[in-house]
Amino acid sequence: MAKLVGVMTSVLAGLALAFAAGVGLTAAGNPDSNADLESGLGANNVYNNIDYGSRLSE
Amino acid sequence: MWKSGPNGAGLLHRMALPICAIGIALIGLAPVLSGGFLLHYDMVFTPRQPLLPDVIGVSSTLPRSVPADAVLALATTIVPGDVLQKLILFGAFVAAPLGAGRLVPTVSTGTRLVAAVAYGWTPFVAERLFLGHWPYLIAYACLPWVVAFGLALRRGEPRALPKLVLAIAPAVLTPSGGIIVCLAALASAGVRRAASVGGAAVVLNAPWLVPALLHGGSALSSPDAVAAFAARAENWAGPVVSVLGLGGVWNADAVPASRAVPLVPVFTLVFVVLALLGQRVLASRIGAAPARSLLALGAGGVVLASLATVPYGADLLRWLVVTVPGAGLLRDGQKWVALWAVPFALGLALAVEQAARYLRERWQRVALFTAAAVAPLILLPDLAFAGFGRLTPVHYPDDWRAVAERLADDPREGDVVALPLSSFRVFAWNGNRPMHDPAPRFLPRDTVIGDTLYVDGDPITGEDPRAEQVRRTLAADGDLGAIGIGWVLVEHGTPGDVDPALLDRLDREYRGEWLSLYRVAGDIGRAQQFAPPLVPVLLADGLAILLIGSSLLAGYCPWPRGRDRLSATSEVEGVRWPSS
Repeated sequence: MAKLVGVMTSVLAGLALAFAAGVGLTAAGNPDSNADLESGLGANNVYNNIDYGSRLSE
Repeated sequence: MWKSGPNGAGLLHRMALPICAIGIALIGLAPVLSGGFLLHYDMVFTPRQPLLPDVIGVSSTLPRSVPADAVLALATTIVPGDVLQKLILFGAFVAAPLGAGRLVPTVSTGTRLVAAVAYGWTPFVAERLFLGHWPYLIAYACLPWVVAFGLALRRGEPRALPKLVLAIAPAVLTPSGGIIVCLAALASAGVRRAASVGGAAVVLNAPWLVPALLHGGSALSSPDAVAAFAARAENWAGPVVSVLGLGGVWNADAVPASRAVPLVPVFTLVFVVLALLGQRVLASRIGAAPARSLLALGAGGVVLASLATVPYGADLLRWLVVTVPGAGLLRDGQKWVALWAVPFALGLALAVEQAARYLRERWQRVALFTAAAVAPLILLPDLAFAGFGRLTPVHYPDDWRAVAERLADDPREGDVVALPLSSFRVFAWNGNRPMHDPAPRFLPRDTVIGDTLYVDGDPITGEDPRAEQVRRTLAADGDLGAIGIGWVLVEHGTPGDVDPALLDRLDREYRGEWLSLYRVAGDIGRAQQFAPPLVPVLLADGLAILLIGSSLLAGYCPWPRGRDRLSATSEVEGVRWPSS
């Protein structure tokens, strides 16, 4: 049972590592925060088409 | 080997897999499980989705989200949409690793954990989540359960067919999900059961199949979609290796940054080799024929997913989507790689188990299992916490509820057109995340939105004849009322133009910060009927519901089941392996 507890602890440690790495990546830059669009409160701006997505890496 | 047994540790061994699955779901989703809606690309939930004909496919658009919309419309009469959304996502995140861990034919808890993490924490899960493809996540979560019951049916276990039907049912919310799980069901159940499984598959998929077949417009797709939605290289190794690693989705914005790490392809190939080595063990435990079928299906999934990226493959797909109605399902081919995930996870876990046999010390074996279980998490850390800010719950501005109530209360006829005429919106209140226009799922009337998609600015023509009719009418300053449009919704703060001259001709009924509602003056005509007839669609829905209901009774009704007890488990290396 101690071994099982060890593995489970390791898995959770891996998840914690995932958390830490994710935080780092987030700090490096969240791609979704790069949308440089006017908020356009109460008015429509002049951008015509919103991309469904992009095949280009940032 | 590290095995479960009838000692004091039995409970912990039994609980290890569920704990692992719940842990994966919590780490993946915990921060976004609070109140509010996750509105991201195709993932649009609303507080209460209206039960309109289009939710069952009786509309001018192809039934891409049928019967998912019908299920949401019914479910949100009981459960608020944001709560339902979290339940669905959390359920899928738990069910996927739990199903894979239970499916692997072993008595080793460590092997189950390796399979669970290898299946539940993958680029496929991350990318489809970040692209808002929640029905695919459900289908992915159903796959190991479908395979388990398919194998049980192949072994001739009682009540396996109704249980298989119930495992397939959640995945048929969309056409692609339905096809993926039904292929897995056929492969796992075998040729001798093909007729019964195939029949059940047709009935379960009838709710989208019938409206698609009777659709008034064209079911052909734009050939431009093939290149736009082809699998994409996520790193230096090219698209095929990305696909082999269960990634490669077309949209770069949905790809976790860790997928571009140079070592990822190396680990991918190592895991693929291990997974292939594990197939021999799998075959020895579940039988050569079913193992071969699952592997062939997985290979087929990889081929389909990669097809648009290899010579002549793209040409073949382009020909198919413009020639064969419904072949548009083959675009965005990366989704088919889900079929590879099951043999991949099982083979990898069993290869690790085999490798552990060569280790003499117990701690060495435990270390090996631990490393194998943790590796997917290390290699894909940025799935954690739903991508750390990619998804954030938000609340709809009050304008949406106000407009919906105004439209519900007004007795005057007419459908709604949402402007700017575009499929997607980018609102500041949603963190400027691209999201599908929520109007058709929020407003209590049929709502026409633009159906042209743009990828890197290049248009991909849609298939909705009603949207095309509205587009032409707007371009010609024509009479919207004559084509059945009684209302114009203008969404503010999102890219796109609206012709001021058009608004001058309309009567403003509501003006808010984010939405304005206008009424079309004069008589409102009848909309041209592009939708399929209602009766056959309802019949198809009824048949599917009847099959699911009868399967529920046949599979789980507590009538005498003595034979079940005798055969509901299988022998694996001398220890009984629960088959369901």
